[in-house]
Order: sequence, then C-alpha cells, then structure tokens
Amino acid sequence: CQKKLTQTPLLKIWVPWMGCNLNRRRGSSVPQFCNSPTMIVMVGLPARGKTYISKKLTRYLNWIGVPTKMFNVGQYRREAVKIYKNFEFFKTDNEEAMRIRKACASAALKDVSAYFSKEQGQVAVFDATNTTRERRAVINSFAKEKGYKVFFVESICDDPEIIAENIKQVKFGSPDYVDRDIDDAMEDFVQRIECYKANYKSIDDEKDRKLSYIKIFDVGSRYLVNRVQDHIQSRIVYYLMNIHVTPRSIYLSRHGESELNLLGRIGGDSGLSPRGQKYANALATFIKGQKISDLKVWTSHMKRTIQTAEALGVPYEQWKALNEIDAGVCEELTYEEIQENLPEEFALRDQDKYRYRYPKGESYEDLVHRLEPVIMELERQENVLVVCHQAVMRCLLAYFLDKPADELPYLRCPLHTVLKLTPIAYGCKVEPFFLNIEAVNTHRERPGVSFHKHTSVIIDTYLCQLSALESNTVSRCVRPWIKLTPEYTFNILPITP
Amino acid sequence: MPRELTQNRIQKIWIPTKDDKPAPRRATGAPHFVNPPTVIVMVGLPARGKTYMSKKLTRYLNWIGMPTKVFNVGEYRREAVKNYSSYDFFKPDNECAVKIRQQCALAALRDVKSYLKDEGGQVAVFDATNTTRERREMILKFGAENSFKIFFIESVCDDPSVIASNIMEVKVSCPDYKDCNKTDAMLDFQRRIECYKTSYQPLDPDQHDRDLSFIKVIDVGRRYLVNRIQDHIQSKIVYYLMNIHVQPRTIYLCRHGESSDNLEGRLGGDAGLSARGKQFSAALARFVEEQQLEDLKVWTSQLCRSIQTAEHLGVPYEQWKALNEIDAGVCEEMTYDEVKEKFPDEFALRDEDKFYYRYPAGESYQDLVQRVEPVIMELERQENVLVVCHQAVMRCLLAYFLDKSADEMPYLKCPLHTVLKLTPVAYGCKVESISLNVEAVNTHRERPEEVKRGPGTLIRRNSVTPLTSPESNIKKPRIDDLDEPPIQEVPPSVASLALCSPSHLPLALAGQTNHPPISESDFTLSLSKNLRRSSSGRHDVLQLCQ
Repeated sequence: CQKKLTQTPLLKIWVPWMGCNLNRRRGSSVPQFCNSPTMIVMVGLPARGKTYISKKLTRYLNWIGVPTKMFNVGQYRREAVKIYKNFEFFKTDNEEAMRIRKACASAALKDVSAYFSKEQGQVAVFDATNTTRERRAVINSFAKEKGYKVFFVESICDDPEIIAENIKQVKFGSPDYVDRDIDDAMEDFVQRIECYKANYKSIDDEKDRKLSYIKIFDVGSRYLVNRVQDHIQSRIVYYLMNIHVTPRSIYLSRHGESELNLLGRIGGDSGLSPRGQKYANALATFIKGQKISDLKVWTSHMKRTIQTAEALGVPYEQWKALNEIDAGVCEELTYEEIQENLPEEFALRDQDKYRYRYPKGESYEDLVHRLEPVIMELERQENVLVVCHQAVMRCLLAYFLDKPADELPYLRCPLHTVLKLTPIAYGCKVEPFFLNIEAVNTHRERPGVSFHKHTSVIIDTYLCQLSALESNTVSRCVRPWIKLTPEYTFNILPITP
Repeated sequence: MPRELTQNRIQKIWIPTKDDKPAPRRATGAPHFVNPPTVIVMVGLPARGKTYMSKKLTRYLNWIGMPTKVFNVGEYRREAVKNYSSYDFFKPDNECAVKIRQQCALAALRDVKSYLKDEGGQVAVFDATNTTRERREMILKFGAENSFKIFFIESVCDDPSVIASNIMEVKVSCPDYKDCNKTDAMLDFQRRIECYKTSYQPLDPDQHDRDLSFIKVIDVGRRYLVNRIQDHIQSKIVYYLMNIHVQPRTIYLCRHGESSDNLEGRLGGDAGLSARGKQFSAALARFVEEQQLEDLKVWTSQLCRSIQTAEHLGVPYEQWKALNEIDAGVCEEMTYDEVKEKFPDEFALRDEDKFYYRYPAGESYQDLVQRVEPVIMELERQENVLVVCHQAVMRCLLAYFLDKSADEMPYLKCPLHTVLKLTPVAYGCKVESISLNVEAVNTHRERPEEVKRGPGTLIRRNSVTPLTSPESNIKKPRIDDLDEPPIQEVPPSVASLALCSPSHLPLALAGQTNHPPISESDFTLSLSKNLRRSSSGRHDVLQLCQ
C-alpha cells in the first residue's frame, strides 16, 4: 500500500497525498516535539529584572518559532486601579488591595488558558512577583488541572547597586510614577519592595525539589537548575545562561555593493563593485571613529563580506551560518528572469515570503534556524560588527526588534548602511548610519502595499529617509557619514497585556 | 590596500592571497573563538561518574572540532604501581602511596601542559577525584602559570543505588580487580570511597570557591549548580552536560531505502524509492515492530526518499531539515564518472581530504557536523529513536557515537538496507549491524589507495584518549623518582586499535545478501571478548555488554 508523496509548493515539504494528520509533519526545519503548553512563572522581588527576562525570553521564543506571550500581572493591576497612590497599596494588611491583586492574578491566568486554547499559544510567560508559596501553589494546581507544564524562573539579587540601577532604568518610566519626582519615586519603590520582602519565600531546594525551576543569582553569576523536563525548558535554560546585561553595541551591516548586485542578480558569490570597495573603506573609517573596545568582527563565508571585512584591517571570523539565503535554482537570476522562467514560484514567494522555500534552496524560516547559534553567540558577546547579507540581516534585525514573521522578510536593510543596536531598558535603540556611498537598491517591496500597515511608524520614518537618500543618488553631505535620525528608541514589546 | 582574495580549493574558503600565515582563520563552520586553552577538572568521590562524563564530553568536543583529550590520573597510578593490592593504598595516612599519587597527578599535569602547548590541544580533561582544596589550589596555580582557563565539573551523588550500580558496571571490571571476585571488589571499592570521604571538601559556591568557574552535577542530572561561566566553550559544555542522561535506551540509525538515483549511481537529488527501496521500507516496518520499543520516536530528513521510508512504518514521525543529505552543490545528481569528467580537479581534491572538502556551492563533511549538532544534542535528550537519514549524515552521527576521527568519518561503512542498533554501555556504545536482507546497490567509495596529501594538510581532530591512542602518541607517565619500577609490560594498545579500524567494524561484515534478518550481535560479542583479552577492556568503542 504505497502512499504517494506530494511536495507542497510553498514549503517544499513532502507529505502523503491522502489523509494523515499534517500537524505531525509540520516539516519545519526542526521537529516540533509536540509538548503540552508550558507556563514560565517568574518569581522574585520587584526590581530583580523579572520583566526584562520575561520580555527577552518571549522575544527569543517567538523568533525561533515557538508562539509565546507574556502576561504581566502589574498591567492588570494598573488596568483595575487606574491611579496609583503609593506603596501602601502593596502592604500585606491592605485587605482591599489584596483582593484586587488576587483578582488580577486570576484574570491573567484566565487569559493564559485562553491563549493556549484559542490562540495556539505554546508558551505563556507569567510575569509577577509570585513570592509566596501559596501563590505558587495556586498556579501549580491551575496548571495541573489544565495539563500545562510549569517552569519557574526565580531571580535573586541582593546587590543594592544593581537594584538601584534597575529601578532607575525601568521603574521611573512606569505609568505608576508619571508625575512624580525621581527621589520620591525611588523612595516609594524601595518601600514597595519592603512590603514584598515580609512574605517572600524563595523556591526551596528541599521542599520544592519536585518542581522544575532555574534560580538566577546576581544577574547571572550563578544558576541553579532543577529537573529540566523537556526540549523547550532545556532551550530556555541555555538561553538564560547566555544573556548578560553588560552595556555594549551590535553593529549590523551588509557587505559592500557586489558585482551581482549591480546586475540585479540574487545570491551568487561575486566580489565587490568599485563602489562596494569604497564602502568597505568608509566602513573602516566609521568603525575607527566609533572607538569601540574589543570589537569582534564576523563575516559569512562569501567573498563579498570577506572583502568588506578585509578593508577593516582587524581580525575577523567567518561563520558559514551567516551565508546569504540559498535561492536554490534561482541563484544568480534577476527577479525578472525568475518571474519569466518560474512564474509560479515567483507568485508563491509573494504569497508567504517567510515560509516560502526556493526549490532546492531555503526559506526565511530555514534561515532563522540556521542563525540561532549566531544569535546565541551574539547574546554572549559584547561589541560585535556583523558583516552579512540582506536576508540574514533581516532575520537578525527581526530578533532584536521583535518583528513578527510576516514583517521580517520586508524589513529594510539597504546596502552601505550600518545599523547600530544598543540594548536599553527593555528594548533596543537603533541608530542607522548611511555611509554616503551610493549603491543600488536591492529591496523588493511587498506586492500591493507600499508600506505594511503594521510596520511601526518610527521605523517607517527612518526608512523613508533612507530610501530618499538611496534614490537621491548624489548626497550633498559633507560629513563622512550621515546619522539619519536622532536616537530613536524602539521598545521591543508594546506593554499591553 | 585591500588584499586579493583567493578561494582555498579544498574548503572553498576565501582567504587573502598575500598572507604569510597559511589560512589564518581555519574556517570551521563557526568561528573559532580564539580562547586560551581550557583544563576541565573533574571533582568528586570515586564512582560518581567522573570518568563517564570525561569520556563523553571529550568525544563530543572532539566531534564538534575542538581537540580534546582525557588525562586519567588513575591510569598513571596503575602505570606506576602495577599490582593493586587493596584500598590500603588510598588511606590518607599511607605516606608512600600519597607520594606516589601526588607524583602521578604531577605527571598528568605535565602531559596536560604539553598537550595544550605543543600538540594543538584546546581542551584537556583532568580526570581524578580532586577532592581536596589543596589539590585544586595546585591545579589552579598550574592553570594561572600557563594561562589555561580552569573549569571544574563536580559530580555529587548520595544515592546508594546509583553508586552501587556504577561500581558494578565499571569498577569491578577495572584492571585493579582483574583477579578478584565481584563481591570482594565491591567491598574493597567501597572502602576506597571511604578513604576519600574523610578529606573530601566539595566546591563551596557561597564562600571559598565563589569566584571559580564550575558546574556541580547533582544526583545524576536532577539538579545543576552553575557558577561563573566564562566563555563560549564553557557554556557549550554546560549545555551538553545538562542534556545527557543515563537512562537505558537504544538508537537505531539507517539510511532511506534504495532510491532511483542510487540505482543510476547519482549523487544527492530528491528522488523517490526504487522497488527494492520499498521492499526495505516494508522490512524496516516489520523489524521495528519486532523490536517492541516503548515510545519510539522516528526522525527523517526532508527529502522524499527518507520520508517515503518512514511512511511505511505507520507511526508518527518528525522531519528535520538538518538531516538532509550533504549538499553536493554543482555535483548534485551527477554520477561519480560524470563528476570525474566534468570536474576532474574537484574529484581529485575530494579524495585528497574528504572531511574538509567542500563541493562547489555545496557542503563538506565538516559543514555537516555543524549542521547535525542540534540533532546530536536532541538525540542525547531523547530515549528510543530511529533516525532514517542518508549516507554522509549517518557517517557523521556514527562518528559521534563511535568516537571516530575526522579522517575516518567520511569512509565509515553505512550500507543501504542495514540498520545499526546503538546501545550505550559503560563508557562506550555497543553496535549491532542488522541487514534486513533486501538487496541494494553499493554506494560506498573506498578511500583511494594512493592519497595525495596536499602540502598544507590540515590539523586532524585529535580523537584519542591515552588508552586508545597510537603508541607513538602515548605520553608515558614520567615518574622518575619512584622506588618501585614497573613490573609488568604494558599491553600494547595497538592490538585493540587494529581491531577497531573501520574495516574491522562489525558493520563492514554485515552481509547484504542471503542472510536471514538476524542480529550480528554474536560477532560484536566475540570482538569485545578479543578486546578484553588484549587487556584493553576500557576501550571506548566496543564494550562487552554484560
């Protein structure tokens, strides 16, 4: 009874022609390890970086293709009690407030279960203090009843400097303290922490030995990991052990314009055009001007990125994982040629550019899996310049700016432009630098829409400026490079529950 | 002035032409992360699985391309004192013995130093109990003097049943107890542990050792304490240790059934199964059923032939793109003859160095290792798994389990229509090769007789531990001032080496025709007995399953 296999046109996945549950062959690059939904439950006093970890983890999991959402109980509380007066709200003997806070937690749990059952969520990050054993027991029994796995992430930190820094960085921006002066807010927040301290029970290594958890001590100087249950928890632990909060910047750039860029051909392994070579030199000047300590430079294995890095005159390292998307049979063709010779393929790609796989080549989704070790290493490192390619840079950028799969393949990463990414608070500051060397435009607009409606306004603003510069061939700037915008801040996750 | 770039012909890596140093950025798929060499120092009482972890970690690091070697101080001690009489030797008040043990540790450290400084090693695993602060201070000082990074791995376990099974599995068969019955050996070993217990000072994360980099593995992986990870390699080690487990399980490796491209002798492609390939799939389904496995996971690549094979099994399966066959680039779907004709240079280059050779616009075996690394990590996590994959991919996976060097990997025999059953035993892995008795073409190309080595032959992955290394590479313990001269001759480990060269692997003998579908385990057993007879019972690859 030989079943015929058919290759799906978009994903290029072989599936049995008839029947059969397609879910189990979702043919993504990595098996799905059909796990039950997982709740990640944060534990810790206020200002211990719980929200930071939650957001970062949520962003990472979404990027690797695990649908994840964060549920911040504080938001529910702010929703319920519009005006925050002071720390008295958090006193343990404030019964009315206690009721409200309990109701908020229940509401959040309800939303977690709706997220799993109605929105195909796989991981929910439950961001609250969860400092008492009772609260954790409630969450545990809720999860048990629903058949969810629970993984606790406790952040423990007693270093007053780190806590003060944390309060300054994120809490002053909180809606609770909009119209308060800084000292006043600081004072109130410290009181608030004290309210929690009274009842704080850390996860107990003996009593809670059956739970799955990770304890993070002093922002990652030590970790205690207990009973990791499955693939996803193991990934989470690995990720948490690699992130750090040391200030640094990541510079993303494509190679200089290549010979094939000039011809409008995709892929290939050509060298730089004369303008591309000029860019490489300009990049060297730019990098010198930034005066970066211990800069690491990474390239792909392709000639154009290596030529670009060579001009810098510093050591660099090559990653095959940074190679441009493999366009398979379309390598070295122009878009017009593809449209003409493979009209169906051309149309399919427009239909779902993220998942579309080139015949005998790769999709953006494949690329994300290939780039995962690069992201992990970027998280570990400090200052890094990555000289890469259009599709690769889009994937990396999407990670840092938390862009969903449908926007990722349309992110603008023009030639001869450096993006400087600096982590701040919960997000990432992006500064684009056009190095004032002309280059061809390699961006293909999403068909039918000039700008995607979900694209954030700020990005559009700077990209409009970029495209203006790109088309306005001769730039009249006298400076060696133009910093396009004042420092724009992109918050990575909109803080809406 | 920009330097001209030239593409290195074997690896297809772009390098500056006028660079004096040969290929300064030895391109592995991922950056090399120029780190100072690392010494991994095991800590823990006897029978806590230190040697198990050391060997496994070493095998993994070598496989991912990080030259690593184990230095087992016990081996040095056995070398120095040929006849082990009893646990008295390990009593803290046995002054003469304490001196010998100290000398052994120093000798091992000297060898660590020359391995990391002169022999291209990057990681040395210092496998000893290292249970006292004094000993660890000495090692830290040694690290600081030579600018080696030190990373401690402490195994803590108080579960008596785990310890007892560990003693039974590996200790009673250790050379120390070769003329001893099991009960006596067990008893003596337990006393030996007691000797260490009195002076054992575990790593103290709160005070004394708070600034050290270490991982404590508690109760065989139920819990981990990780302190001050310093770099990429330490982070990798921690991730690996957190994913391995010791549950008994079996991994089955096989290729897809014979494809129509196989019949025509074409490389790569995405063809479907031939008639015989379908027969194999059906036979595989019966075989899997007979094995009666609990919770068997089935993994395939995303290529038609492996999926067609798995479809016959009638069980859920998962597709990994990472398991796709090596990308032969411009040579895809050509026969070897066509490649030879169209790209004679490429053809010759591949023979010159098959591991590093990258097809134009395609991949090398080295690239493949990088690509299948997540598969290995997940295989370590899982229990029973059947992997339906491809020739080159299967060679990479097999090389990991059998600790084969980069040089041997591309020539491992993985014939069509044959299942390899891998069962972890003691420090190694038992392999049974099972031919399912469906004929198929032979796709194996032997290593050419006359291999022309290019002038700049690349540094090989060093995949040896002291016991399995060729004689010339063995660093003999250099204990000059011992009263007691060695009594016995060292059994030549060359004998055991010869036994496990690829052509002697049981898989090579697995017939492809006219055999009933039986397990070849008899063969494996006899081979293992041979290994034992040559007193190399601790060989990594083929262990007798007791």
